[in-house]
Amino acid sequence: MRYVVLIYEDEALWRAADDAERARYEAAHRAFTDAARDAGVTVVAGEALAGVASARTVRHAEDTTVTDGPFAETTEQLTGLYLVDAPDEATLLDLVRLLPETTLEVRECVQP
Amino acid sequence: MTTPTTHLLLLRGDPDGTFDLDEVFAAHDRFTAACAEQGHEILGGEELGPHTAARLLRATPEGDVTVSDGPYAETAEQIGGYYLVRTADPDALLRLAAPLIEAEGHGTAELRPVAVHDPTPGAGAPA
Repeated sequence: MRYVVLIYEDEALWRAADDAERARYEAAHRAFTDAARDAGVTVVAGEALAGVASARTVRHAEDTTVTDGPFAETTEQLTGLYLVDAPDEATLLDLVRLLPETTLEVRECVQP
Repeated sequence: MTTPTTHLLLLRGDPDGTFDLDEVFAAHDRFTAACAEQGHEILGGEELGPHTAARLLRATPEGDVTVSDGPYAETAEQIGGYYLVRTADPDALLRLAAPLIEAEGHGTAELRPVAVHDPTPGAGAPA
């Protein structure tokens, strides 16, 4: 099954992170991708997002508007995502514990 | 000519909304065709299953991890899908995306450039 792992965190944490802390994040993501491979989970795609200040949002209700900024001004923001092919959700939930960010949402994709 | 960069297009809609699914699929077909014609390279994209089936891991400052059912936020609009697109003209891409949410009658499309960490790829870069 395909799943997305949506990664949320307060962007201020990354901005304030020193080199050692950033190296810890990078090592954790490498550990995740390595462990995923060992567990038979394929990382199809993955991206880290630029800061939400660079987001543009199109909103459609009565009419369509375009604004600068993200969908919601929350403390935590979507900072990245993985698309993975995993045998089951339990395997993936164990793996995402390796990721260093504070909040991880796992969602199944519609296509098989 | 601007160098193409990768952007994430996040589509959010009302999970309880009613709309013509064939029209929504047709809008996505027109979007992908227009992207191909206008040089926006679609690298990937997925439609997500129901947000109610989402699982959430949350780490506390103390390092404890909790697992719960449900999405990150119980908002009226939920992420329904995304595209990953390499483009030299994000504004033009955003204009092409507007019909995707118009087809559902209600929703938002958020476009974010991906981060480029130099020299080491950081979060989200598959090995």
